[in-house]
This record gives sequence, C-alpha cells and structure tokens, in this order.
Amino acid sequence: MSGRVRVVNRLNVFSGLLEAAMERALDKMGTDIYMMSQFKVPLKGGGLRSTGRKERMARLRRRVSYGGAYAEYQHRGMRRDGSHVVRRYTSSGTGKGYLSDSGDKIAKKATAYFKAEADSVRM
Amino acid sequence: MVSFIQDVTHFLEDYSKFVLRDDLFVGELKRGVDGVFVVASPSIEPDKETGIEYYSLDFWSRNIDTGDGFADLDIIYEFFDRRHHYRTDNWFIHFSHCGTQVQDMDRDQEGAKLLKLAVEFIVNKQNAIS
Repeated sequence: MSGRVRVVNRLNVFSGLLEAAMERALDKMGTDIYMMSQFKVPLKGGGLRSTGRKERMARLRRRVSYGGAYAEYQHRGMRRDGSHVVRRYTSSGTGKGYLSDSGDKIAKKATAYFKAEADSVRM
Repeated sequence: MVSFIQDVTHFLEDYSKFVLRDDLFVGELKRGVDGVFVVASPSIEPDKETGIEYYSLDFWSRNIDTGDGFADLDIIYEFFDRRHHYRTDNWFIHFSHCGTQVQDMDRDQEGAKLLKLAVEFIVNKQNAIS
C-alpha cells in the first residue's frame, strides 16, 4: 500500500498580509510622529508648521519631514557652527528638536505598533 | 460628499458634550487649546465583494489637566465602543469598537498631557444599495 503526503502551506499569502500589516504599522507610527511634532514645532506665522509632511518613500519606508528655509535651523536651535542660538520662541511650548523628540518617543513604542498590526492578520 | 471623518465628528458633536471648533477639532491642531483632535489613521482595504469599508480614526486629547484628558477620551470610548447599526448623515455604521485603550503619548512642551484613542469603524455608504 502506498500513499502520498502533500503539504500545503499558504506562506506566500501570509507573507503578503504580514507585509501589508507592517506597512500599516509604519503608517501609524508616521502619523503619530507627525501629530506629536505638530504640537512642538515653532509657530511664528505658522509657516514652518504648515510644511510638515508624512510620505511613503518606498516599500516599508516612511519619512516625516519639515521643509522651509528655517526647518533645520529651528530644529537644531542654532546654526550649524553653534552661533545664533534661538533663545526665545514666540509660542510657549515650542522649540528645538521638535521632530526628533517626537520620533524618539514613538520609536520606543515601535514593538507595540508592529504587534498590534501583526495580531490583526487573519488567514 | 462629506468625508467619513467629518461625518463621524458631527455625529459625535450632536450626541455628546463636545462642541466643534471649541473643544473638538477635525484634522487640525489648535495650539494651547485643550480639546480633542480627530485624525484619520491608516486602515485596511475595503472588502472587494461587499463594498464594506473600514476606517480607523485617532482621537487625540491635549489637556493641561490629565484627569480631564482621560475623561474626554473615556466619553468617546463609551460612545463608540461596541456600538452597532447606527447612521450618521451619510454613512451606515455596522459596528464600531476601540482598537486600543487610551494610550499615553507623553506631554507636549507646555506640559499638557497628550492621550490617544484609536477607534475602528466598519461601514457602508448610505446610498451604496439602491
């Protein structure tokens, strides 16, 4: 008596669903970094604040950025050579490091974002 | 056509203590204002066969008083969690539920508490079936 054993797996389907879940996790992290940075970005006139962007750069890659002439200067709080230190912000509660601080805070919770989305994968 | 996020926010305003553009805002952040800010979050694709759509909205609370911030999101939690078969102006919501508990998102630079609550919606457009 002979028989055949056939193993069927759906790993290719699973990997596709998992990748979509990871994309959503990154999207949510990007949205949260953007939101938190909006609470902190220097506000005078609102020009810098309105340049905030969250973009999908490529597969599993996102970018949150601010543009405008003074984005980098304001983020550093001084010129690259250490001169012209910003000592007073027109809106209280805003200041340098508005983007990196937000990114660091969300990055600490990265595992929770990925776990939540991975848990949502159903076959 | 009013977007889903606007529709749901109006619905929340109609049946809760929140007042739009006073302590409830859609897609915008008011500096120095205590309130709830609603933003769209990434969600899964619509169902190919039934046309059912899935939305995920984040409710951000910014409040100098941490207790008030939690209280605001508790109201929203109770309002949407496990609620089913209800209509907004343009959408029929089959089911809504909170995807998380209220999350602590630290503080802003003014020391105000930032909290977040994610709510998932399973919906159809009201005029999808004729």
